[in-house]
Amino acid sequence: MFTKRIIPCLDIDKGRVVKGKSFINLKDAGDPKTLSKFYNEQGADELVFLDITASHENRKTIIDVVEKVSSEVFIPLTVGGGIRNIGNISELLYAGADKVSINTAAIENPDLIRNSSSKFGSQCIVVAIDAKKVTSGWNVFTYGGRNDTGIDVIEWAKKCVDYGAGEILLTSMDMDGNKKGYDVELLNEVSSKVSVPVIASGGAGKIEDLYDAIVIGLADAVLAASIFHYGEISIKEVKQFFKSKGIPVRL
Amino acid sequence: MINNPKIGIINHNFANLHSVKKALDYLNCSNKIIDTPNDLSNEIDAIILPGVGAFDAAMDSLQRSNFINPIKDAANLGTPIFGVCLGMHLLFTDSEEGKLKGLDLIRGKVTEIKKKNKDMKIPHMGWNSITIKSNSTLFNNIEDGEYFYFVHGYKCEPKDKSIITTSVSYGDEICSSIEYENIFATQFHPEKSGEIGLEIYKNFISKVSKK
Repeated sequence: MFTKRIIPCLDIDKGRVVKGKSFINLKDAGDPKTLSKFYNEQGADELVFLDITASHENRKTIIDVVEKVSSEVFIPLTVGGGIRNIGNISELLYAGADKVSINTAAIENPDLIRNSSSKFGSQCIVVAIDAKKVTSGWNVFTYGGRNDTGIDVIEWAKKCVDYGAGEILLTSMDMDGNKKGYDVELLNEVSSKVSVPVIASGGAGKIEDLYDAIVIGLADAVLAASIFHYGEISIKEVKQFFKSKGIPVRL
Repeated sequence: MINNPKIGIINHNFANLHSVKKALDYLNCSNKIIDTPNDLSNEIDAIILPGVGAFDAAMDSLQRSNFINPIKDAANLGTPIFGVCLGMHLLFTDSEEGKLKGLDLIRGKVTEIKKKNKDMKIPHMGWNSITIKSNSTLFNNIEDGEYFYFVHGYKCEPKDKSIITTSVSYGDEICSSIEYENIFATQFHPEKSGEIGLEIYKNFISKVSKK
């Protein structure tokens, strides 16, 4: 049976995991490989690494992280953050990433979606969209939510798919960090209008939030960071809950 | 009996050969990335044809690197060949995804996955459970209903249905693996399917060892 995916997201700064240091059972929860192995054992369906390293010179550290994790953890790995060109994508895929997630660069240079998907295949090009509610619907924001592009999220999501995106990682900037649940209305709008899978992101606080993202939001996958990192909910618990509700999961 | 078989991984058009290599390295299986047909020397005991991306781009790349005849020759001489995902498609006669001919080691065609309802997403991307159709080398000791990671928009339709070893349900029943003499293939990515995926490679390696 085709399953819904549960995806933990790891924020990586200068090669170290930023959140999640309160994991009591792990010797070094700041080490991306240690945490990745832990999530893999818990039943994570994929992993997303978000490189939040500010300086350009530190790009090598994320390559190194990908190289190490993909040598020992054999589930799909998506890497995002600071990807500007084909060269960046090529380096990450070469190091062992399966997909890359492009955000600001996709808006500023849509040809990057076209060129990268025709070169590497749509399946490895994820477009990350940061959405914020405005009076008319939702607009696409860039630069970590600081810049309103004035572009409608649904129109942009459709365009991304036309350009060759294989998946949409949709983050609600309104809900992100508040733990009050995903923006299911936004998810539903986008998911029902694009042909590719949509990953829900931003707002997970409890198990029911992940369930709502799938059932009401029609998301194909749910991504969460802090609830998993701080051990509030385990991936296994989410999967068992989903199974009890009749949502197919890999257990 | 080959004690430590060496597996050649064909390098073509940005295939995910590094993931495949990492899985073989992890299993301590001797392997080599094959950049040119000259590298397909006698020391290679089996071939893995990996692949992601588009059919024509991959066939074009194989053509330009003069890989087509050497791969076919190796197959005809009995060298075990394992096609993964797009690598599986390339083994077939032709594909709706492209205009170029495939390797034609397996008679049949590759067709587009059709949307059965509005909620069905294309490509088929994620974990899905397989149904075992017949006894096979690759699925030795693997139970019916195990989950594997799939990413594809096209599916294989061999002329001879008896070579299908497992299937997966996505809209229709889709062929998820085949075995025919020395030709093996999976539609899913064993190198991305966790521990159970590594079992597939272990079974392939052990088959090559017993050749």
